Amino acid sequence: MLFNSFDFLLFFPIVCLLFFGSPQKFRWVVLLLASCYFYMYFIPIYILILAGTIVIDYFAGLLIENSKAKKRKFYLVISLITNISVLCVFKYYNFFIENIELVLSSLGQKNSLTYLSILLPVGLSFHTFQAMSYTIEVYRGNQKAEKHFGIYALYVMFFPQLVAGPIERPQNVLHQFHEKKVFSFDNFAQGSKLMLWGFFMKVVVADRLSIYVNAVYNNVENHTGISLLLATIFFTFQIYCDFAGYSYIAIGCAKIMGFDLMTNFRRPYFAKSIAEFWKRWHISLSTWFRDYLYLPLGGNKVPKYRWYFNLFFVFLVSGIWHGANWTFLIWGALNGFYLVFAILTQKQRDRFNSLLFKSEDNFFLMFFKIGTTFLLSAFAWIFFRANHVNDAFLIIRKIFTDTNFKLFLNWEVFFAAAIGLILLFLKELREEYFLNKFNIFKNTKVRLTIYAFLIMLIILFGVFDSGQFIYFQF
Amino acid sequence: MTNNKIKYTYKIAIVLIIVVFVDVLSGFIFQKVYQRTPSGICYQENYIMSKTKQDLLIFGSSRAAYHYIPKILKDSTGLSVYNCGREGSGIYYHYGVLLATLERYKPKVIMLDLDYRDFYQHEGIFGLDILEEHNPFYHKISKEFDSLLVLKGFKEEIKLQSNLYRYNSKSFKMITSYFAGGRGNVDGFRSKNGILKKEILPLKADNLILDYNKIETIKKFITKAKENNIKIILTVSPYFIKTPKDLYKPVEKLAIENNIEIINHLQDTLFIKDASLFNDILHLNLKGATVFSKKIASEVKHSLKNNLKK
Repeated sequence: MLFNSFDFLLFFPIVCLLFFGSPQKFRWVVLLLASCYFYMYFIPIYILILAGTIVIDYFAGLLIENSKAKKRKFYLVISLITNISVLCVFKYYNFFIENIELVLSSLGQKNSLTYLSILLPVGLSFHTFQAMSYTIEVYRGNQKAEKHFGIYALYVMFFPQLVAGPIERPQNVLHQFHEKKVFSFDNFAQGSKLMLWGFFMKVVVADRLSIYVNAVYNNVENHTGISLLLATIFFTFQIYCDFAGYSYIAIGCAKIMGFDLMTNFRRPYFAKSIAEFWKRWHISLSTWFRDYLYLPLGGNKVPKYRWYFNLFFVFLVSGIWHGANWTFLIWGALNGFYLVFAILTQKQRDRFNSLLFKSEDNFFLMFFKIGTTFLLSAFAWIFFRANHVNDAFLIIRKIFTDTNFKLFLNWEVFFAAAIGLILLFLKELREEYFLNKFNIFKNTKVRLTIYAFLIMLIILFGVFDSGQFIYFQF
Repeated sequence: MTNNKIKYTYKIAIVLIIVVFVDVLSGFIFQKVYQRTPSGICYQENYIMSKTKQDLLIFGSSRAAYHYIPKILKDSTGLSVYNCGREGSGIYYHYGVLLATLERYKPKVIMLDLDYRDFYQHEGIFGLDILEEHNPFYHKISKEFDSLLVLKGFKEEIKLQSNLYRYNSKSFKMITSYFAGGRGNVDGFRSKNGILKKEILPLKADNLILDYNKIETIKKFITKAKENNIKIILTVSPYFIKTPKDLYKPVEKLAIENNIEIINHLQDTLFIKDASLFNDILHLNLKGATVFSKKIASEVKHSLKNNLKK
């Protein structure tokens, strides 16, 4: 089920009523059934895959906790192999076969290998990673194994974050399912505000921008460099509003029911470096990779060359996590390269900055850093969005060399997107630099008017029933 | 009731009141702006839905809009003519226009130019989505018209209760055409001036699946027109594509069943042998439209004469 669908607007209040109206001991049942229904809205049969991994990870958790050293590791490995195998079969098998075929055909051999004709289960990478974090944390002794099967299943399947995160940690969420939740107007207000803003980001900004982006990126050859540049900038905002919008709605839903999910985005386009960008973008995934891949590899407490490798490797894996396509791999590699390059040139850049600017807080220096980070991330998004690697290179070539300045126009998109982006910018600017500065926003009437205004903008400019969130495919 | 409950209930009520108030007010303002746009697509939509008074109306997609020159048809038949063709529209849209027209007056003749996508399944255009263009007229024409708009389902019906939603995605077009001034298209015809430089290719017809909902709507269109004693002529204007012979068989069958005339120029050799008459494979250019309009005008004139004799 999509958050931006009418069905969800009916589903969610019903779940809330049933949840708060049920006795405490049955509430997990309500949430689990609701989560199953939510998941089965896509491809019902795929719930069996989810159920299979849940059973294995549940018992793996118990066995890890009740075993000694070697056996603990064995059960952890079983759990990890199971989860990664499911990912490999559904997500990477066809990509793997396709590339083997390519290599074989370049060697002059004609082999037709068998492809799997299956659709990727929605949100597979998200709930697989969440499940893995459970067994790893139990293994590390940071989390007690969950005895209650239903509660563990709910940890993996909790519908607000089931298909596109935030990828939670057991320490943060599991205990919440045992706690008694009482309906709170404060939670309701906070959750509703988050959901409202999430809907605005998704249906007004992201989906409106996607009309332009899709028209240009799906027909690269027939568009000029300037149109491709604008589409790239639009995509930079589209993917942010699409994914952050989803996260806001997910966090808001959970909040209304009394659950706290982790923050997933903190105004990433105000980052002053790529390293900072990754501390603000998809935080739940970045910290997952930090805790379960980067640090186990040695993090930065290893020789320098190894540190660079660790960084680069983690981003390469992050790229492939996003999708079985060379475009994602290059996107990951590019981000890894940015980080390594930033570390290698840190001293020279600091010296250069201190020559030009007196202090680190200088407005122009900040502006320069934010602008550079934005452009670097926008450049990397070209690979993320392009349909093929060849398309990505053609886009880059056209952006830098095409002298035809005829812009593909879609005023309806420009108009709605401009309104959306201005509001987004003002909101994030205030949160970033002026959080307690404007007292006018503390006035209840002003705030209520703003909420009403947002609802109206959604009705007037929103793209309804437009389809999935970008991150569902991961 | 605790203080907290009262406080939040009050706040929710305030937000809802503001939303409802602004929805009603802005709906009213948008309606006025929409009705007064002097040019552009909103003007044309408003004209088609609420101002036509001509004897002969031409219905169809962009192929109708670019192929039928009202002046030529008027000179030939002696009837006043308006071209209601609209880009990307399909049979659902045309049926809505017919229902709106019949609430005001009964034209003497309707020519319905049918694209093959009007009765075969097609992703994207020609489907129910185009009905959104009629949303500003929800609750303003008739119950039958409203029931057409909610063919997408009950969710659409709920959304349409909002006045603002009826103008969703139309605000920019409305505002710009309202302030841009100019004068709306007087007869609905639009021309294309390109010249096609291409070999004729066959239509990929392997995946064509009949859309029975669309066919049912064509039937309703015909029945409605006949009930109101309007002469209806189904027409097929030329494509620069080699099409299968039986592509229009379902429509020909409909015409026979309903005892109405069909003028089919689908594979008219005059056109398919001359790419210079086309702007692209689907649309004639002005030169092509002139040739086609003259040809069809004489055929319509002949048909009307026969009708009088009967």
